[in-house]
Amino acid sequence: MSSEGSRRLSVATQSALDDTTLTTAAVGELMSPLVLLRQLGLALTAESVSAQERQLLGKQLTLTSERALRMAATLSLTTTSQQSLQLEPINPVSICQEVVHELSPLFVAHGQKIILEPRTRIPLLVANRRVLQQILLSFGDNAVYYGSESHPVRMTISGHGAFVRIGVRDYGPAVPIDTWQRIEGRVARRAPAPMATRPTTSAIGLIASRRLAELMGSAVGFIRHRDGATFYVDLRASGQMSLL
Amino acid sequence: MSQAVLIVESEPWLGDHYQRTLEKGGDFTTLRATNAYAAMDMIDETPPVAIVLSLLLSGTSGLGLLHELQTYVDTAEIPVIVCSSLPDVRLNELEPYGVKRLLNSTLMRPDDLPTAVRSVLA
Repeated sequence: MSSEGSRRLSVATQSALDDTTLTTAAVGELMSPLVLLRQLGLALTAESVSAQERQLLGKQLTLTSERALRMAATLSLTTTSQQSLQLEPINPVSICQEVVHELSPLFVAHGQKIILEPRTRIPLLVANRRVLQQILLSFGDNAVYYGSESHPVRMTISGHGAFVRIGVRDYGPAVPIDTWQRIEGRVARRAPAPMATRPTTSAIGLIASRRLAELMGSAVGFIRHRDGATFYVDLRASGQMSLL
Repeated sequence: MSQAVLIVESEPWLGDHYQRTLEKGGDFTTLRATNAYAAMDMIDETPPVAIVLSLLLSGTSGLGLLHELQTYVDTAEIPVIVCSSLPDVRLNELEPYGVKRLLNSTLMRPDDLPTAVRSVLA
């Protein structure tokens, strides 16, 4: 029997978190990459480090700082994008390709792989390009430990009538059905533990993604699989003909 | 009992860093686990001389692992060094769980870890 389950988050759902709590939690979340950056920096200056190790540490420093910057950019967008956003027709393939291109070095450095699942009929969607990109980057960063050479993390695009779904499928630990409540509960309590089963990743990034999606009249959600999860964003389908 | 130090850290590159500092700076052999369940399996199979533990772990937190370790007579004796960036953690609150040293990971330097492990084994 399949244990798959789906949980779509209502557009109308109001976040239980105020901005101050979210900001406090975000600062805590950013501590993790900052701690890593400091330790990598200290390791880089140690006398006993070989040239090969130095190169590896330099690469890890760069990729960790880029990840932290992506997290900061998502959080910044969340707090500055309070008004309704400018929406435009977007080809989802091009934006997914950009995300795969940007995240691939991080995935490769962790012995992982991220791919865009090919498809022939491409549904156009309506979104704010920058915001959608940040949401997808958050999903990707969240999945970075949860793939393998035989099971790469996959970005998928699918049409569902009035909306287009972009998903990021991973092969990580099980996601509890009450994931969002758990995340928000922890953040609201200012609890120190990260997201229940997906640690060291951006639980706050996921909350921020949800807020950003709501500003576009969209929704994020997840599907549980027996061997992982798909985090997705549903966006309005564009009525225009293909732009490309 | 092996002479290995078990590193329990979910962030792989931070775990690599701890491993490097212990092996290079302290001549220790190390074992690695990224979550509490894997750590308990390793401890059952190859009891380490000490555990370096992050409190923020996959699934069960580091506190959960500490609690589990205290449940058994043999594992309760393994000294634990906690590395944490959490501001509210106090050593005296963790000592009942077998924690012998608390390192603030926002301030610690690479030498601090092998020094802490040596001190709990002395």
